[in-house]
This record gives sequence, structure tokens and C-alpha cells, in this order.
Amino acid sequence: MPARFFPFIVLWAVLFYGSAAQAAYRIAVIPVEDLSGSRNSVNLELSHRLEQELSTRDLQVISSEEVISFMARKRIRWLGYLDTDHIIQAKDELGVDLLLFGTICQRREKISPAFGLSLYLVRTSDAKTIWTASGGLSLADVQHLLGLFEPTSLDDLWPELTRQVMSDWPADLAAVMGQALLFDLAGGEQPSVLSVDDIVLEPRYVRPGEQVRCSVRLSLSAKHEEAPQIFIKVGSRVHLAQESTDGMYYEASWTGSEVDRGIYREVGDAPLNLAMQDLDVRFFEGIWSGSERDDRYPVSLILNWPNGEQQSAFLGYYTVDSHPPQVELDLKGRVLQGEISFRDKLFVIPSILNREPFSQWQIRIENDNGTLISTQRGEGGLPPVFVWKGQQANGFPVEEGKYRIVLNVWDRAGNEAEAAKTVSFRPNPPDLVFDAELLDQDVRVRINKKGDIPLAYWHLEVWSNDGYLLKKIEGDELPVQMDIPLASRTVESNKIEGKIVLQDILGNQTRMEFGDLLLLAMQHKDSDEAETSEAAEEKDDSDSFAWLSEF
Amino acid sequence: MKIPRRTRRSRLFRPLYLPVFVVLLSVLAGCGGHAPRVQALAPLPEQLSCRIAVLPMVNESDFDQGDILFYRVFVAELNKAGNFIVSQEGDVRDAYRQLRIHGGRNHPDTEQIRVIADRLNVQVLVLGNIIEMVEIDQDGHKSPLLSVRLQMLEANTGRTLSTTYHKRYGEQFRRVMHFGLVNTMTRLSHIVASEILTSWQKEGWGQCFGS
Repeated sequence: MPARFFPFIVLWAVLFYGSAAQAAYRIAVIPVEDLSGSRNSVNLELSHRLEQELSTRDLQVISSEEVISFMARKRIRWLGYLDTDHIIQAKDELGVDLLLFGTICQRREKISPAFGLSLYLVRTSDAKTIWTASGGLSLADVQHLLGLFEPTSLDDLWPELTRQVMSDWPADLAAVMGQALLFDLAGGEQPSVLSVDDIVLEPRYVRPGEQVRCSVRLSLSAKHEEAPQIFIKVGSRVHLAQESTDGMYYEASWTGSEVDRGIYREVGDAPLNLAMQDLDVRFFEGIWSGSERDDRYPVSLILNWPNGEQQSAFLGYYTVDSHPPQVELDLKGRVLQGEISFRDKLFVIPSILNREPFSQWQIRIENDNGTLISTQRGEGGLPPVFVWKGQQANGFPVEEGKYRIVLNVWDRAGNEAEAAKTVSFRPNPPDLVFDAELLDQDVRVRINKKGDIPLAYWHLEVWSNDGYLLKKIEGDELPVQMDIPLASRTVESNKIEGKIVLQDILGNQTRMEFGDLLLLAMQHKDSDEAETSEAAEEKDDSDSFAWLSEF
Repeated sequence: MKIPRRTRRSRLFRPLYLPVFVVLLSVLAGCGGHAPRVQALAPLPEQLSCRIAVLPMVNESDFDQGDILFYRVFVAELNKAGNFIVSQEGDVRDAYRQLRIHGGRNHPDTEQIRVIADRLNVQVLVLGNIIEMVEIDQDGHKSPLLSVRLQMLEANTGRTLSTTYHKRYGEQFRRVMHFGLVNTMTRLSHIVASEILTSWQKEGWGQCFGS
């Protein structure tokens, strides 16, 4: 072979093997998320275009069917991203070295059509993002001289946008792929991110002696003999997590706080001294104090791998609370004989002395016998005020009498507190005693009331039939007596009208209107005479009865 | 004949008036205090590991999925910036799901931040709010407007290291006529993200930037 062909052979070999080395990388394009649509909408057409673009860069692009099948098997229902664990699984199951995530940030077809694109290239061996790019383009951005060959639609924009976004695609992908790994799985290292699928830590607030349970579902692809030991570290204590019966979770449960805080928990042959590796000063104090106390305890997950590597992840806190909340009741009403009284509405204002969130509350109303009249429950915070209208739960009014208002609250740990007060329900109006007596020139009126509720005021108006005001008087004390003169006008009209109003301090009101005061007075006189004659007859009868008895 | 001095000078410089004017105008058009406002509240951790996680943004605007748009663009720029080791969005979303946090509406509380940071093994967390994101109709085209507020938190304590506020709109980049205009929200987000990262580089994150 002539020597002059030798350089061309060398050049061809370099190009061939160079491109072959480049084409050794397998890449998968995760379906592109399109933000211009609804949440989590996919754009498969643009995903295919990206695949075509990548295949021009000497990459072996796996089919979208394989990618979608992988996502379906792993129940990956979201687009635009994957977690570390799924990225590593993609490496193992799809055999890809790279994953490309794309996001259509914008896609506007009307009023200045525009496209926006964001790309991430992830190395599957360590889930590291090794290249990113983003860009946006609208028709207004692409203007050529004399308007020649300008894009007129989104389809025309796509090649220009892709060219811009991928303009800084790594020229030497091999060099980028050869950069230091974040973790070396092949060498037995574990990812820096612990793959926790689900955590249940409950209850978050407990009273001393109550159980706390922690369940953790891990995504461990290690073989059984390579599986780690899993511990739940609570404060200064370490609990070995057991596999649940369904094999899906690792579980541990413990008492909220214990008097005995052991340092070691023996597991297998060797004592487990994981807790001693923690340099938290409070931890050491906690070991020796041995005292039960209300506190907030951190909970962590620890994985002990057979090769000696240890991973940990903080899971959260739970709180031990032994103190019940402090609550008081304030009733708004008039104080009568040392007791709050009301006639139609009672305002009950709860007052929390040490502010803390409540899990639930209950307010109930009981009568003197302890029978439940009405109750109301709720969750979370207390309402600022309760209003009781003197009704039962069915809406019917209750009888006058004494009732007990009881408020119960529970904090998040279940500690209960109760506050109660007695109240008097007095809805009845004052019992008016009204009396009129006819004198020579006057009518004597007596006003009184029954009952022990003090009076706020009384008010009397007396009118003649033709509208002449004979008397208008008011006061706040009873009994009272007054004479209403029979003026000449009265005699002429021969009728006296009026009304009397009594109101007690609770607001109960009695109102009486009379159409003829003179008639009332005369009826009173007649009844007095009748009583007198009845009394005389009774006396006669009693005498005759006595005579009869003697006889 | 001797040409008068003023005439001679004006003849010499007249052809240069227009180009100088155009250059001056274009320079001045790009000027004017639009740097992000960064307020440092606490010193950076002594040993910076450059391990950082960006939490989902909270969208206070009416731009649909604007939080995801800016998040993806910002994280892309952060990855490109240099030596940052940025947590995968999938790992962040997993933590959010387990803690029952609705990304886009709420930020995590202090305890949740500690859980997330520990789970992701990061030193610093970035939280963000999209305050304004809108495309204004203007003369037949859309002019984007974007304002964001970012907080940088120390992972193990939850304390705020710095807050950054930045606002930009497409018209600010106009040079002459329509040249320089930014017409897409994606492009504007790219600019805002780049400018914020440039300001962070000056605030002590220098070792995490670089080739």
C-alpha cells in the first residue's frame, strides 16, 4: 500500500474508534414534561425530537417504549425528575449510562409564539447532574435581514431553540463521564441519600408510659446477606427495628419515656454501642440522670452495613407531655345572690392560661340533677366564645333553674383538663301584684311584685278616656302605693285607662294595661265585701256546726 | 486658503457623531442598578461543602406552574455554576411527600427543614417565593415580568444565612428599537437566576463557583 495513504488510514481509524467510543454511551430520554398544559402533562412528540437530536450526537438512545415500561413497572407517575434510587435502578434495568430530563417551560402559540426548554443530563452511576441548559425563544427573537427565512410557527422555532440550548453540549462527554463519582456503588459505597419510601412516627405527642411506634419502609435493593441492620435511635436509646409481618416495613416501638435509660442494647454477639458514637453532650447527661421528664426526643434511622459503613437519617421528633392544659371559664351575666344569672343569652368565654394547641374540646350543660341538657364538640382550637340561649339540644327552652356549664379540653398528648361553673337561668318575668281601691275623691293604687330578683324599674301611666294624662310616675323600689285624684274630667268621662311596666335587672319585663281603673277598684270593693260576708257566713256556719256537733 | 479652526474640527468629527451616539445609547440602556438585593444575615458555615438543595418554590403569582418553571431554570444554572453538589429534585420531592408538605403552596417548618436536610445530606437549603410572574401584552408581543425572593438556610440549625430579592422585566434589556428585548419568561428566568448566582459568588460562595 502506498505510503501516501497512511495518514488517511490513521485519520479514519481515529475517527472511527473515536466515534465508536462516543457511541458506547447509552442514554434514555425521560418523557418531557410540558408546563404549558395541565399538571404533570407529557409531550411525547418533543420527547421523540430530543431522541432524534441525541442520536445525531453519537449516543445510543434506547426506545421510548422501554423507558415508559420501566416507569410503569416502578410506578413512576411524575415527569421531569427522578430520585437517586430510581436513577440507579434505571442504570441496572435499562442499562443506560445517562438520563436526559426535559421540561417544556413555555409553549405559546398565539400572540407572539414562544418556546421555553430546560434540559438536565444525569449520570446514572452516581445520580449526578453533569450538564444542564435552559433557554427561551419567541418569533420576535428571530429576525433575519429583509425578513427572509424567518420562522413563522412553533415548529419552525424548535430547531433554532434546540440548537441554542444544546450549543454547549459537552464536547468531550467521555471526560465528563470520567469525573470523580459522588459514591462508588460498585466499590460497596452507599448513596449519600438514604432511600426512604415512607415513614410513620406516631403518635407525635404522648404521655409518659405510652407507646410510640415508628415504621420505616426502605428501598433496599441489597441481597439478603448484604442487607444492613436497621436501628431506630430515640434520644439516647437504640432499638433494633424488626421486619413487619408483611415484609414491607421495618418497625420499632417503645415507651414514650422510661426511667431506665440503658446505654447498651446487645444485638447478637457483640454489644451495640452505636449510641456512644454520638457526641451530643445532652445525650451523656440523659444516660445518667435516669429521670422521667417531659421533653422532645429526636428519632433517627441508622443502617449498619456489613462492610462497616453506617448511614443515618433524622426522622423527626416526638414529645412527652405529662401536664394537662390549664383552662378557665368566664361567664358574662348579672350576679344574683353570688351566682351568675341570665334570662335569654349566656356568653361563655374560655380562657387558656398556658397557651398550647388542643386536639379536641367538649362543652356540655347539665341541670341540677346532672342530666345532660346540651353538648357541643369540636377539634383543634377553642372558639373564642360560646353562647347558650337557655335551650335544649332539640331547641326547646329549658325550665328556670340552676345549670352547670362544663368545658373539657384535651391537648395533643391526650392530657385532659376541665373547667365548670354554675349558672342560674331566670327567664320568667316579674310577678306583678296590682291592686286598686276606690276612695271618696281618689283611686288608691298599690303595686308590688313577687320573686327575689331585684327590680330595675317600674313605670305607671294613667290616662283619662279623652287622653288627659292623670298620672305618670316611675321608680325602682316596690311595694309602692299612690292615690290618683278623680278630677272633674274623670268624673265626666267616667273611665280611667293606663298601663304599668315592671322590669327586673335581668331584663324580664311584665306589662299590664287596664281599660277601666274605676271598674277594677269597684270590683276590688265588691270582692272585699264578699269576703267579709263569706267570713261572716263561715263564722255563722261554724257556730251552727258547733251547735250541730254539740247536738 | 486657510480653513477656519472650528470648521476644520467639525468636518473631522461629523462622521463620528452618529456611531458614538448609538454606542452611548446602547451602553446607557444597559445601565442602572438592577443587581439583586442580597441581605446577609449570618456568616456562611466555616467549612463549606457546597452541598446544596433547592426546595420547591412557593408560587404567589397567577402564572400557572411558574414555580416549577423558575425552579428548573434556577437549578439548571446552579448546576452549571461550578462546584455545587445539588440534590436531585426527585429526592427533595420524596422528602416532601413523606412529610406531607405541598410544594408550591407552603414551605416546610423548622423541624421539617432539619429532616429534609439530614435526609439529603446537604449543608445549605434554598427556599424561594415567586412574588410576581406575568407576561404583559405590549404592542402585539408579550413582555415578561419576574420578581423572586430566595432564602438561604443553614441545614442543621435552620437559621437564615441570607435573603435575596430580585426583579426584572423584559423591557429593561431593550437596547435600540426592538433589539435586546427579552420576550420569553424562560429567558428572563435564566437571566434572573444567573444574576442571583453572580451576586452570591460575591457574598462568599466563591469556592463553590468555578470551572
